[in-house]
Amino acid sequence: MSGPDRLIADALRGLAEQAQVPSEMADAAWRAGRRRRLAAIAASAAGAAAAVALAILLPLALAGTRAPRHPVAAVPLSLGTPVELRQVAAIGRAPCPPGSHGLLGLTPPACFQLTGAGMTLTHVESGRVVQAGPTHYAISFTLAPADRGRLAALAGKLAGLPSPRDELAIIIARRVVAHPVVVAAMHGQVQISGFASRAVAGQLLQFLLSR
Amino acid sequence: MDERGRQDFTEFVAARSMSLIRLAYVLTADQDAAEDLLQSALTKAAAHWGRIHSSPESYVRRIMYREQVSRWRSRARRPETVMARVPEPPPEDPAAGLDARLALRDALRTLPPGKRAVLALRYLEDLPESQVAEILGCSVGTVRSQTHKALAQLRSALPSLGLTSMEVDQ
Repeated sequence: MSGPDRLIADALRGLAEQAQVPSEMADAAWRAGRRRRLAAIAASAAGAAAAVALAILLPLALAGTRAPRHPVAAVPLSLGTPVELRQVAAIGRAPCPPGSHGLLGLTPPACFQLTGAGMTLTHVESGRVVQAGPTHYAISFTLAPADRGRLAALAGKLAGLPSPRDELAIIIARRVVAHPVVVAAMHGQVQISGFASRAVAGQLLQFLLSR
Repeated sequence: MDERGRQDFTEFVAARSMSLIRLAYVLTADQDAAEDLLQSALTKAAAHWGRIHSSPESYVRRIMYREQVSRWRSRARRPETVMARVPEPPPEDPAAGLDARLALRDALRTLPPGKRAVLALRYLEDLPESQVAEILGCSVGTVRSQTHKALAQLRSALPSLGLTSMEVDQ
């Protein structure tokens, strides 16, 4: 390195030495990074969901739901990331206008306005990945006993309402990952469908379980 | 696995944050902006933590370079902000009673971030032009021209510091 080059290198080091100790940022960065991972997974889920279109639903709303053909071992769990269920009030174009309090849905992008009706799942009795169709998978939750009555009441309120008020937005990390039409009373189970592979569904389930 | 990743990540940040903030400071010349840049880079690293197979520090440093240049490019497309005074102008006579290195350090502050990033990669990291171009996502020609312009700007600001012999690799 020549003299002038070394002069510049030294000056750059001198500039670097003026930096002060940064504030603690590992925890916030990790949590923000985790949200990014979820967004990517949710986008993947939504993409798969778009491919199967109407397969996004709460099929287990129907009594006597078929047992999954290839269940994965159930996991007793509390959700590190809550899953919100909210009645849809209106669906508009993305992005959401500033101040609209809408939530973004993915693939196709849309802005969801929600009513106050809904519930937040922080604990579930079990969660598993199931094969929901020939080419797609789902995460199936069995609700905790305390939430089953609330879900039944919510579903009863939505079923039969004019569209889109009969839709229930499933929200993870402030993203609408699905918005199934509620067609019947629900009996304690919720399914997020439309995953192209078991691995992707399992990844999201693992994320929801992690703290 | 997530908990273990979190622990690894936390240990990495604790061990390397000072080294990383120094680079961020070189790139931004401002403590708050440096912390923003580092935070943003760490967030991206955390999102891919399980898939970073090489050195995490190299990964974060690379993100910071790219992000800072990207921010600078997007700002460069917007109209300049009119300020009441020039921020941190170089001394009128930097050689008069001042250490040359301090004068040069102050002159480096006045460079646009993109040019400072190129100089940091070339002279601080001591990387060849091809690698600088790869990190910044531009051509080797752009690296050469940016280096040339940055050095010209330093020469202009500090004519008495003996920088006239500096040449860009061809």
